[in-house]
Amino acid sequence: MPQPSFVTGQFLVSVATIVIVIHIILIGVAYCIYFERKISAWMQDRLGPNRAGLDFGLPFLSFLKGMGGVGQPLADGIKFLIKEDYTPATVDKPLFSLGPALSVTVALVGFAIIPWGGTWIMPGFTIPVLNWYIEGGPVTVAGADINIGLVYLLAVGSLSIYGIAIGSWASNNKYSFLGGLRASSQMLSYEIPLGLSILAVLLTTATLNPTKIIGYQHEHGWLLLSCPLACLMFYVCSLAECNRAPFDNAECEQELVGGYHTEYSSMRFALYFLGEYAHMITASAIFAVVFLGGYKLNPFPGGVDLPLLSPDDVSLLAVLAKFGVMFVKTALLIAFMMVVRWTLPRLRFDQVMSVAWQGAIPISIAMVLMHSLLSYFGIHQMPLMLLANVGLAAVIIAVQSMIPRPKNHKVALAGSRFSPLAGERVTTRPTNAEAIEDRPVQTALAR
Amino acid sequence: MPFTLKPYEGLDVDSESVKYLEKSIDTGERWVLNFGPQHPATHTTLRLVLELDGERVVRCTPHIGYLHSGFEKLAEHMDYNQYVTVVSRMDYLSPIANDIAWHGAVEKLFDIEITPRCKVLRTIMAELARIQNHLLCCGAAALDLGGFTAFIYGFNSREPIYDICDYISGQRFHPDWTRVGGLMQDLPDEATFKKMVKNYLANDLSKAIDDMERLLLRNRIFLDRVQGVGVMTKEEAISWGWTGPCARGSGVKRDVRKDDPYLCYADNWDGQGAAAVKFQVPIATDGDCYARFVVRMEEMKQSMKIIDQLIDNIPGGSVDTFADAKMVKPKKSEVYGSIEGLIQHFELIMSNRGWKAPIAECYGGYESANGELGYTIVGDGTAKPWRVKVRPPCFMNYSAMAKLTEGHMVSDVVAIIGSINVVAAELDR
Repeated sequence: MPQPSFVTGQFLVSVATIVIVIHIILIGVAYCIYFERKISAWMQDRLGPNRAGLDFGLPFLSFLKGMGGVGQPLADGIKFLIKEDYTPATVDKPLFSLGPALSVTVALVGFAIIPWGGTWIMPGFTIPVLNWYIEGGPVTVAGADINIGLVYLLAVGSLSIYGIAIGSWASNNKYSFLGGLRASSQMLSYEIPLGLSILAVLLTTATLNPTKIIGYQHEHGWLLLSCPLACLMFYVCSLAECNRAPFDNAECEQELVGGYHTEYSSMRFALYFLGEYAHMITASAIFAVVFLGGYKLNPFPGGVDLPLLSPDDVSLLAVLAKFGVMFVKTALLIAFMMVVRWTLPRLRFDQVMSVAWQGAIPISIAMVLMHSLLSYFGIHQMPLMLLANVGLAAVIIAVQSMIPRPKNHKVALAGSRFSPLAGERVTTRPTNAEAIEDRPVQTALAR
Repeated sequence: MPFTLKPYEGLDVDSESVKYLEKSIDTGERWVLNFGPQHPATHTTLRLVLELDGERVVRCTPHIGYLHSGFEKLAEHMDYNQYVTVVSRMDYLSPIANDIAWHGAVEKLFDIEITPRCKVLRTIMAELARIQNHLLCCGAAALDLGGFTAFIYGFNSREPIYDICDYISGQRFHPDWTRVGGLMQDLPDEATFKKMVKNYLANDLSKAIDDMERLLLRNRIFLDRVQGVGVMTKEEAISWGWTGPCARGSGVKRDVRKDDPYLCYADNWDGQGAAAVKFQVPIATDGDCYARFVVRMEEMKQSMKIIDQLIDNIPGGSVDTFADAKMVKPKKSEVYGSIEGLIQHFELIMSNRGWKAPIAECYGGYESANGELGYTIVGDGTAKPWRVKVRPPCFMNYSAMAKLTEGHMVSDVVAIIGSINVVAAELDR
């Protein structure tokens, strides 16, 4: 069979990377849940899961008991699979199953552009049965090393709204619907400052290709130090995109019972969970690539770094070392997301919206303006950019403290008993039939 | 009467005499949400039918009674010592406070004076119960807003109080500790009790309150959620019958411990001129959820001060009133050892005897963590009361739920329920 032209070394390495990374991500998502429970427990003076070891209850494996609870995700996975798959009768059946599937698929697609291992000089080899010769040469250890890398991320990230919106609509449940509405508008609103912060990065680095962004950071230091405002904005917006606290109105238990996943159980619920954590992992990995220098350990400008991690070293060991550094950075960012969730209360939904439209978007527009000015004047040195960012932050804090905060207030509504429109005649009986359909109100005077 | 109620200038409120509106004014975005009896945010079984305009609450109709268990009816079949087991099930966030309040009312009906030692022990446990209740209320208020860690810190800090209740009465949760004229038993060992209480106050509680304050009180997100939400002015609070920290958060200066003192809050509680315990009553003026929260946090610190004043000076003597008061069940050693003890035991336990309650009606109100917890007891000469009516502070506080909620948003409903500290068992009885 003739060798197709697209089967090159890069293609094979990309396919191998994708396969390996997807497996790691899927296992990583399960262990994200485990780490969330452990981290939240340690923060709350508790222990977290510590009983489910890897012994499966078998007597000859009893030396694997306990183990700090590392078998918990496995146990949870098995539980989700064997649990009764209950679909309520009133749901829209095709959409009910489509929602979680979409959520997971879209979340997993975002990993393609992340450069996990830098460049590798691959030796040429022949595939045995088909007798195709694959030439050696430099390959990028990434799923897809495309020039529009970060735009791809934004596009795919926006798709994740569909999974939630479809799932909440299909559930035929007022609470799910409310949760889905909140999630959709929140995710849409926070896409804008996310995009603007990536625009700020683009203005600085002049490229959207993740590998070249890491290359830029090799010369100029981590973008965390050059563009701290963009970094902060990106992190906060990715928290909002993942529906994590403090922006988790869509799924908060206390207000909406379950939000968009109220009606889901067993594997579909597990898929929603998986989708959310996969989204978190993607966001953290992109943050590590763009702002924390990818596999570069030295945050300051200049090329001094561990020899294994320099972009020149192209051996397999270097690839693995770079992969390891990326993994650790992603894990630390995810842990920080969890710490934030278990510390902060959640914002009310209108506060979420006002933070986005009256807070994040004006700030990110100002930030883009500042970065355009810096880029126009060719300023790329880290100290000057840091100074400019700090100055802009000071201006923002000064301006923001002068803007009066809207206070919580009651709104006069027609038909209300205790906050009616001015001059309205108020009826004290419940006015809606649903309110009294099972508990009739006894009138004292029957007229 | 320290306050003059002004006439309520507000709405021209109609009752059923006007033709009932079939539909409220339809903006096209109104829908009904049943904040059902089963919901993670309503702390127990509360039901609110919310008519919503988008996310704003137009009308809020609370339905109560999902936890009604006929507690007051049970009182007619139990005598004055047996009913204490039922009473601690009402405000189960601070069970021992109910016991103390119940027997305080019973002793008022019987006109019994309890011993100083008993008063001190009851006061210490009442303040510990107040701390227990406020820790859970503040923690749950934070939990409903998403501050999970503050909830766990508060809840974790209630464990030593359970251990103390276990020590003095044998049960962690519903101690059923008090009896008519005294307690079920004296402290097993006073030194251990002192050590447990002092250790708890110094190590666990101060740290927990400190942690909760640092997590929440300066947190902009928390402040934005609770400030200005569910505002009740002072006049409105009085007219709706609010008591306790909810009323004090609105500026009402009323605390039963100061206005109608009892136990160690009254001067001369030991008959020899001992001064009442010194403490301050925190009052806030804003009347919103934040004010109620802060009042509760401050009350916990004042309770710590009260316990500190009393724990080192527990008087000696017996916990039960004098043996010839004929109201107290004597100790077993007396029952088996002396003829008077045997006769007194017989007179109280045998079913055609028992306490001879005065044929009178009496109301005894104590300041529990939620407000004024009172019992109206109608005695009819037998060992069982004719009627017991409980004044549950939650009921009065919750009755204003619609007033607080309408005009705010769905998320504020949760904040308001958390700040009123609704305990359905007390609300529905």
